Amino acid sequence: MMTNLEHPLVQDYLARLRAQAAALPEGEARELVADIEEHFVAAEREGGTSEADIRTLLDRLGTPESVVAAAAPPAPPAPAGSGIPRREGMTVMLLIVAEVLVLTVLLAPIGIIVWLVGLVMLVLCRRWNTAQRAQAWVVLASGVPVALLALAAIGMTAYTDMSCAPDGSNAATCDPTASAPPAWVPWLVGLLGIGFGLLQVVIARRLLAAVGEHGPAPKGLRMR
Amino acid sequence: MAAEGEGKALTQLRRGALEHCVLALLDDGERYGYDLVGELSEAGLVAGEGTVYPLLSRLRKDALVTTTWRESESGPPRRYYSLTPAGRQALGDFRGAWGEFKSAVDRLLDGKARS
Repeated sequence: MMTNLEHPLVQDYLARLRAQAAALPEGEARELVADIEEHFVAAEREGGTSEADIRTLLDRLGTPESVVAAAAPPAPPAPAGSGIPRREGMTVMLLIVAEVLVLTVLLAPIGIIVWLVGLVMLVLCRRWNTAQRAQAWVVLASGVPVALLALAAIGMTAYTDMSCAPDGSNAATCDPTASAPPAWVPWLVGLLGIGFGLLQVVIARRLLAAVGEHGPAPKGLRMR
Repeated sequence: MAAEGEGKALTQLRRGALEHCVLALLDDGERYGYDLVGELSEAGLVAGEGTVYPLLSRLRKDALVTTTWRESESGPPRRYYSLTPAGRQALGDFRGAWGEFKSAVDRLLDGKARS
């Protein structure tokens, strides 16, 4: 027999609830979902498990939107100094600035220090939920290592090219067809880099939007 | 002290009659969350049963109620809610304020009906 929690209608309800609850502080969201899940389990013992029973049960619960709306405190939490959102905004900014610094090569050491500060800040960020934090780690915090790898790849090609340059005494090894990969590697790295950069912009915007209006809004979005 | 409590309860009255109804339901002893929610719903006090859970969680955070997990004969452990001393105090304050509020509104309504 199917338990209540396994019923597609219930699964659908819980998925919608989780999505809506993502707007709440993490602990609160988790507790709310657990409470509603327990409600379903209890209803199974007290009521029936037929399709009609489940529909009545869901009807009585109210929409996930109304449940989450009830969880939002009467006066929305407007942290006076908006200290916490500022931390999230700062983290995103540090990680991206670090990446740009590393890409300049000359300022790379400063970039790595900025990156480390950004990582510490990221650990301290509390307003994002688990999924959002994971995105920040995978897409934003990875920026500096990815930039270093890209530089290494380009550097290696440049080095191979240079080894061909001197007085041409070893012309045989300098045959462009012999050093096969070099020609397209920088292009590939460049294209991948642009793709990764675009992904970062998208994720950064989304993460900043998630912590509200306080984060430094992406330039161009609110200019007018 | 009591007057101050009643004044405070009166402010709460306007936005929070429901949370005091929850406290009142717990006055006779601890209750299983699911039963509590069902009773509020049957009394016609809530639009959606789901909206009671955030309220319960808020009451717990404000230390007006406390929860205990108890094993049940069938199925997973159940969460029971009961009043804390602060919750009992809040309920008492509300009872006093509610009486006054109700008669004030009644007087006004009756007066309007007669004129």
